Amino acid sequence: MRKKFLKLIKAGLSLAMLVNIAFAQSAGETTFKNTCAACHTVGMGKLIGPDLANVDKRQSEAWLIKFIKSSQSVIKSGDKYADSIFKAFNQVTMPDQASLTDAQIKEVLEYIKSKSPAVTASSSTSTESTSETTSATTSNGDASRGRDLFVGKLRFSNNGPTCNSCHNVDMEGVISGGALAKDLTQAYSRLGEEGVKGVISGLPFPQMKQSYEKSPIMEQEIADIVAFLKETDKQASAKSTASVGSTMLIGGIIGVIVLLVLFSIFWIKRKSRTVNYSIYERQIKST
Amino acid sequence: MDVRSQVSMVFHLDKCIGCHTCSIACKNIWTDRKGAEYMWWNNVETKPGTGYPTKWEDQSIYRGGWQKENGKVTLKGAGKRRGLTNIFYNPNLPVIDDYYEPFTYKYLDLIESPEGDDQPTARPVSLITGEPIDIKMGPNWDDDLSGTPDYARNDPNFKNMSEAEQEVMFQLEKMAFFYLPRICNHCLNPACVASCPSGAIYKRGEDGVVLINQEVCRAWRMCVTACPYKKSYYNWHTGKSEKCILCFPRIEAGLAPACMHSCVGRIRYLGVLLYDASKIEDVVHDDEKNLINRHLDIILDPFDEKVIRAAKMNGVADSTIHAAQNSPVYKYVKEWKLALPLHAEFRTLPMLFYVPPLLPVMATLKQVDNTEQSEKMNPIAKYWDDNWLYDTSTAELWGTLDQVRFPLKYLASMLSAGNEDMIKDKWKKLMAVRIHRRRVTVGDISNEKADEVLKEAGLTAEQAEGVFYLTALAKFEDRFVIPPAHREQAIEMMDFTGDAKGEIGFGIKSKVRRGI
Repeated sequence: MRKKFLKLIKAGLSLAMLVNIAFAQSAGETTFKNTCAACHTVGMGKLIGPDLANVDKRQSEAWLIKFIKSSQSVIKSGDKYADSIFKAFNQVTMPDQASLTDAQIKEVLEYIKSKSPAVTASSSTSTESTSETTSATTSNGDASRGRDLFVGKLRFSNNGPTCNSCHNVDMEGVISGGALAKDLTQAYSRLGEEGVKGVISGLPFPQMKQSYEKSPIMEQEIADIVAFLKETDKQASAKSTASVGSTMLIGGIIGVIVLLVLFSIFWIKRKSRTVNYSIYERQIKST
Repeated sequence: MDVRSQVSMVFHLDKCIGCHTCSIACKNIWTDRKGAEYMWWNNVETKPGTGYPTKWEDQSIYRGGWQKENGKVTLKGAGKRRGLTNIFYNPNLPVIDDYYEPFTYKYLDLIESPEGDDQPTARPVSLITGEPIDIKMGPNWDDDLSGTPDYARNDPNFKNMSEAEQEVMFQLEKMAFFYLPRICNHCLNPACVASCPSGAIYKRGEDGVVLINQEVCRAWRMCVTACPYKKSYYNWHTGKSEKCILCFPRIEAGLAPACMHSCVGRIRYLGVLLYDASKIEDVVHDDEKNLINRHLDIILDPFDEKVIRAAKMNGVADSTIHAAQNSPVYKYVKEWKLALPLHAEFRTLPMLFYVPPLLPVMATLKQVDNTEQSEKMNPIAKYWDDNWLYDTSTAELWGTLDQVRFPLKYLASMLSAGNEDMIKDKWKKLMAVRIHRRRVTVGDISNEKADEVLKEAGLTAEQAEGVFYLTALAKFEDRFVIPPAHREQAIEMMDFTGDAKGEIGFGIKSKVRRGI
């Protein structure tokens, strides 16, 4: 009985998806999937960027257009809300979408509006659910293959450029990479598995897009790289020492005292004051 | 034999009256410049006393001079290891308060002050900061202060004397003092030269004057600590060290140095000595008790044919040899053996010699019975309860040498590295000359007695006359026999002294071996 019910649901879901792809793919949806979906979801919880469900209710359309076109300029203009989001999401800069016209953005917003659940779900619950799902999805990537791909020992099957021509990871045995783009040592903990996957497959950054648009990275390769980045992240967090704060200060003070004691022993015979000291001390001073 | 010539000096302490004229003459000529106000290239100290800078003789404070360790003579306060550990701070350097803070008075205030109720006064101001100061000390602050706890009783020469022996010196009726004028000793084994990291100090080849090249001096101040006599001073204004130059511009012009020329008591003698430089190293390494005799041994007889030949081979001019033959210093030091170097134990072989003071007049103590005499006195008169009398007759000759006011031990620690017999020997000679002259002028001493005294002192009548003449009657030309300067043969002042380092003046330094 229960099995039957589950099967039914599964079938229904896949049917719905098919219908969705076949018929309901509006222009807004395409744009969203191409440019936004790498970092954002609608009602599925946060990835790299926030969940965009009901975003139209949080800010005006004009504000959103401005933010999408250049998030940094909004943040720098002193907008508190923009700044708080930026800080809440690990200060990952959202790429400027200057190539999108106002009309396209409006379509995307329209699409988001249509997809948003009617009731404003509390973001906290949705976040939890997604984080559960992310941890639940086990990657089947091979870290050593991912490392070879990252360094360029193995070529991407579509001849895309190797990661380390622009990115660097701090890991033993891995030659240091370029400094053109962000250091990816701790990208995994910054973005999460879905986030990393999303960035590599969705190519939200213009430079990434240009590099891989014509030579996309395959699903398995992405999984491998993600596995590799997971490893580097693990190693980096293991390496990072515990906070030394006060120990350092106290150790320093004790060290200085020890040194001073050593100095005073070493130079114990030094003549520290004038031989006439006792005479001068007794003399009457006018002031 | 490596014969060289040295212009050296004798100071006759019996004649010094402590007037400081020498100091003033020197100051006016050389050290009245900014940064040099505190320097006294020539100073006069009262002994017993702590001197200038305070306690300069105490090398546990200043670590000057040489020390013999495991048979090797090394500098006490300098050297590679010690230099490295103290490279940023030299702990044995005397500070300005060890000398004194130089001062002057605002004399103009006396005549320029506006009219007021009070007399204007000239306040003392520091010559270093220009600010009004309390004068704390001067270069001769302990002048004539024998017996004072701060100065006389802190004299480093008491270190080997017992508490009781010191106390005896400061008994009111025994209290005495003498003066010790000091200039640079122009040593044969100068510690200042050896300590200089820049190679700025050198001993002039032709006359042995030790000089600091102001062009090369790099303000290390190692010479200031290394000189056990503290006769090298740091000029805080020019950033160079300076010292007594024995008025070499005057000597080259045939004039006596300013301090000697101006000496009121005529205590100073200047003349050439010839010495054997090849023996210096050997002498310096000898035991402390042999040091003085060995030092005097390397001074050569200028009449000896062999010496003259060797001197000429070494380029010593005929005129210099002639000056050496007439040198009053040679007479005092070698012929009569009356003069001793100051603190020979520092091992620098100083070439300034002192005739020890015989002060106060030697007298014998005579046991007398004073009771009868005392009873005649009225009740309020002082009652003399001691039963002895100072006897200045010559019935007993050397009777109280061991009981004189200056214990032999004290003078021995200054002038003979602790050897009391050596001081006694000089005193006997000085006394013998007096007795001899008393025979001649007063006539109350029999010839036999006077001759016996001279014989015992090791002098002939002619020698005694010579001592008397040079001590009491000497004219300018007798006291200062200055060799003509042969500048044409000398290493020029303006040349780089490093080129001649290890070649002139003294024998220990060998040239640095370069390469493998």
